[in-house]
Amino acid sequence: MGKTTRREFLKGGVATAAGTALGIPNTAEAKTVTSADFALEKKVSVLCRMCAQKCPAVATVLEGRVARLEPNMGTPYGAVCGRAAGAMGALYDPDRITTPLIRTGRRGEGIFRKATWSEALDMVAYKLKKIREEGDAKSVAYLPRFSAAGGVDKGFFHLYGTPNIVGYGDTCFGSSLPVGYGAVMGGTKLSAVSGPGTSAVSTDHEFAKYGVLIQRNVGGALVCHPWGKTFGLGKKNGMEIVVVDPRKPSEAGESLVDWAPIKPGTDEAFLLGLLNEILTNKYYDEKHLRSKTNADMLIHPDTGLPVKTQAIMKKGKELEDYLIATASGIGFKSEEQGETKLLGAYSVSLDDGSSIQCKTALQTMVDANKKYTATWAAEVSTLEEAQIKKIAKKLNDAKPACFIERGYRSERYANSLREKLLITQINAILGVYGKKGGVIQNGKVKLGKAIKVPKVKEPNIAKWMAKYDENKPLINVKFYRRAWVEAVLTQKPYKQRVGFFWGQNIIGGSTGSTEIAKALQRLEMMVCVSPHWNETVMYADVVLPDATFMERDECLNGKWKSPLATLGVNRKAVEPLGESKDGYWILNELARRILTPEEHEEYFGEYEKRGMITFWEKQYAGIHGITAKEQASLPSLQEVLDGRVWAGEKHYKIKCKTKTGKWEIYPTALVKKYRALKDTGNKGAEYINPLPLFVGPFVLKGNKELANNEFLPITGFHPLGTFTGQQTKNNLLLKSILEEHHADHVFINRAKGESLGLKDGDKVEIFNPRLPKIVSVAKVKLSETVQQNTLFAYYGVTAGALDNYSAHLRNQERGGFNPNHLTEFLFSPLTAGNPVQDCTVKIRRIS
Amino acid sequence: MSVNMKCYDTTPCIRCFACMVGCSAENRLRLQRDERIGMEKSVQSKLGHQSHLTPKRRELGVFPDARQVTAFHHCNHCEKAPCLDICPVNAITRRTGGEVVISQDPCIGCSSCVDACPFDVPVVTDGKAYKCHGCYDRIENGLKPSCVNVCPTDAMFSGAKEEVLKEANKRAALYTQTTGKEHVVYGADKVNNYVGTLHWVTIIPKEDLEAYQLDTAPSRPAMQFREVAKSAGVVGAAAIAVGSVGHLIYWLGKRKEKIMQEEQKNV
Repeated sequence: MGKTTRREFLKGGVATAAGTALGIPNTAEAKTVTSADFALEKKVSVLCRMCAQKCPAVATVLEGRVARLEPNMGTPYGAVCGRAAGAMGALYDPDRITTPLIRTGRRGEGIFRKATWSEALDMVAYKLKKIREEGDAKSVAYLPRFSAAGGVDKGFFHLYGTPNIVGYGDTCFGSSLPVGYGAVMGGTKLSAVSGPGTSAVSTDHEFAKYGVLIQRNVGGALVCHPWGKTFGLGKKNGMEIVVVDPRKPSEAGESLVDWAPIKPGTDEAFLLGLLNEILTNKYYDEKHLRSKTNADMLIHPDTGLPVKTQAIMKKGKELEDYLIATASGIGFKSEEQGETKLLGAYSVSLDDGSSIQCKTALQTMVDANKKYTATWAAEVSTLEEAQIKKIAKKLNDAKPACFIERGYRSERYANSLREKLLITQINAILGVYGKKGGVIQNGKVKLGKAIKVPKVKEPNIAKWMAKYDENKPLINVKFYRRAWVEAVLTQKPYKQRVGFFWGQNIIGGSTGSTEIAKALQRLEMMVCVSPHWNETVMYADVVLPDATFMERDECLNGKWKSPLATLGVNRKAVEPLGESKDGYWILNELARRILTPEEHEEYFGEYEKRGMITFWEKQYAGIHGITAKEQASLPSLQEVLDGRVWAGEKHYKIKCKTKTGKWEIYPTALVKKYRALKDTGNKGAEYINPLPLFVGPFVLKGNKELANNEFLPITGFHPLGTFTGQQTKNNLLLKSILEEHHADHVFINRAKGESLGLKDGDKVEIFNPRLPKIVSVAKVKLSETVQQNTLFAYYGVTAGALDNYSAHLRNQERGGFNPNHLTEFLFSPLTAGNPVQDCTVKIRRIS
Repeated sequence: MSVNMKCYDTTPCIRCFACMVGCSAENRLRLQRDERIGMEKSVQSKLGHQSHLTPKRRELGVFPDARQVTAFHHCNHCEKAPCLDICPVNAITRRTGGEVVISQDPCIGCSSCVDACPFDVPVVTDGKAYKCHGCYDRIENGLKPSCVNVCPTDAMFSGAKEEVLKEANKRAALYTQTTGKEHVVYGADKVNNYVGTLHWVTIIPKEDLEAYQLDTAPSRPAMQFREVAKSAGVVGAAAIAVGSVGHLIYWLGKRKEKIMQEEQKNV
């Protein structure tokens, strides 16, 4: 490696001279560390909350400090990621909020004074109690995210009297995912009902032969236990991957991984082209389509619904039977033993004596999808036609041990729902559901209720909107934080007076941040419980510092995104820092001040006397939802509390809750909803057109050319970043790697950037042409691994445009790009989703 | 105790950096345990010299045939560790398990190890040299190295050399078969005479050795000279030291001459 330079010669000589002068000492052995040193380490079972996934972990406590976080290998998929390994950086963050704060400046200004707990709690309680006494409890909304009092917090607010427990999932998994999946597999009534979200199924990466990563980057994103782990194990077992993404992520693998650099916002087009290839080449197993799906259902040409149905009973359940065609004629599916026709049109006699030509469901789909060829898809998505064809072929070769990832944090475009629907349909046609190497049902341990409270009769805001707001008939009634903002602004259906946020950063995490901030100004009171600073905390009247997960006991947990039903608990490793308090303590103090003494005694009296054990016992006693064999292998409550994580067995199955009992690749529930919306003239109806047609996002409407300095913004997780980033920002254990990756930069295609005269490190202003007054400033990194129309930024790494909170954080620079800050306060049609990337941004260089 | 080996397998790695953060955190635990610097204090500095496994990411290729490649930069615990051989104060030793360890107490910060290492591994901070110690303290107490311990995907594994090699070769053969591209276990066979075999091996497609910055001819020619100096004994070394000083004087004279010439030119 190179030749000897003069400098090296000299250095060698000097060092040798030094050694000579000193004489050669005896070898100095490194310090031997004995088992006694390790014996001083105390181990505590925790569920990591460096993101939201609660990966089972073990905290090492040494001399009263958490000094290590490692995976709890009590489950077959025990794993933690780099965020967890750096948890001490969040725990001992010198800028953590560790005393109650009361606002002294204007809302949003971030000027507070320290307060005692009794002063802060009294202030919150006085307001909440007054509103309750006025009979207006519903005007108080509880917005949880990183709650430190899981299992009890929602019960408390229901007991208080509000139906508005406002989940964050409408900006993540809660809007298009349940509808798109539920349309095919059931489980949602397709109207105002939350259905199967991210937690419903897992990809069996471990045994998959081929997979399409789209809308999700398994390695870099969250859910290390088990998804990150199973993905890695799959790679180890020879799983091949194609990444369909405007940016090539390293986390999917760096060697021998195909990349399809798709234009942002065109996933629907790609999926339609892929479906076209699959249908045209008959890349499906006919037997599978006949037995599991409704491909052979005869469809009425006018209504789009099954031409005739009858009710049948199967395994004690009433199902909808439908007409099919065979070589011997037309009959009901349940009565037919022979081969049903998958394609073609058949004459069906109607009850009035007339007859009508009915296509099969599959034929209906083939015809509707005909024009969306791979050639067409390639043109829209900027992908190579050959690559789309190759992906279809590879899926066919690998099926059913293959998958198209169903996405995550996937509320991005007006048409996100259609993308989810297509992914589910293609996976269903390929037959991957319930199969080894495919996509399988997650297990869960259903627990008894830690606190059982009466139901609130009054409908929450989302239920009202589902009924009366024509733009939101498919809103998720559990996850509706942006619809709540709309309610604050419009005072419809009723006024919202108090927002109680527990670890939820609504401003940083949802589209239309500036409008959201405006709404928060209108509240009579705003409370934030959080150990970390963020955009939303800046608007609080009262800030209550809760303990991090390492500093608190929690209720039992039985729900993970894992095919294995799993049971575990987070235990307190160390005492809370400063004045911060565990969540159940905070809740009980509020309960004592707000509820009547009788109510408090009834619901919290036992907790006051006996502590967490009262909740744990109730939860454990009520365990159900697992097989008898699994139940028999459950550890005792004490064993769980001592740190044992229990996992059940992997079951290769999938739940199907459709009316027909079939995987409805032709989604009849959607047909009904679509027709109903069409009948009322709903403008958004096309977004749930049940046929495989292209609808597209807002941003591609009218096929407008992008200006030279105009981009389609996208974000992705850095493996050391999370959501809006509270735990991973300001964290020096993670920072040097984030810096090495230029994670605070925006990434632009090199050739494109150079054509604009940009070079690495240049600073640019970024703005949405529709909201030009809000400007982000970020540094540019030119990259060959980004598609030309794309402006890529890591999500939740930088402070963004609304960055004044970062003044509280010594290790967090100002600026950077968070698309939520620059976007309009828009909703995806029908689902009220969060179209965060459905816009363009322009850039201009700062000299 | 058998000789230990660690393997990094690029295929199942999801680039989550748990290994790297875990390393940096574990060394903070050691600071608390051995140096009385509490975790709450040590997390307030980056402490680059306590991160013994770091990423070196670069981009290769041209869109759309492009990718990021993350090289893992770390001590390989070479069979013929040049750092150990060159250290003038014998502050670098090999544990019975094969880990090459710098003891900071006797280290004089002369940077000889930095110069000798063909992989650019040791760093000198505040007059002491630092590098991966192979978590010998953990290993000698029956634990896995911290990077292996936190790896979620079996991309890093460790154990007795024979067992690790067996698993590594098995994986390489499987990948060769599934991808049609030859995979190798870098460091399992002698890399060259300068470093010998490595105690930290890497499973990788052969065509990507350079992409991952895995050097197939690691050497520092200057060091061979120093090696001679050391083995020739004090007299020889002194002669070299004198020679060096002589050369320094000669070089300074030449430099002065050159500067004067430049100045004249400028005038």
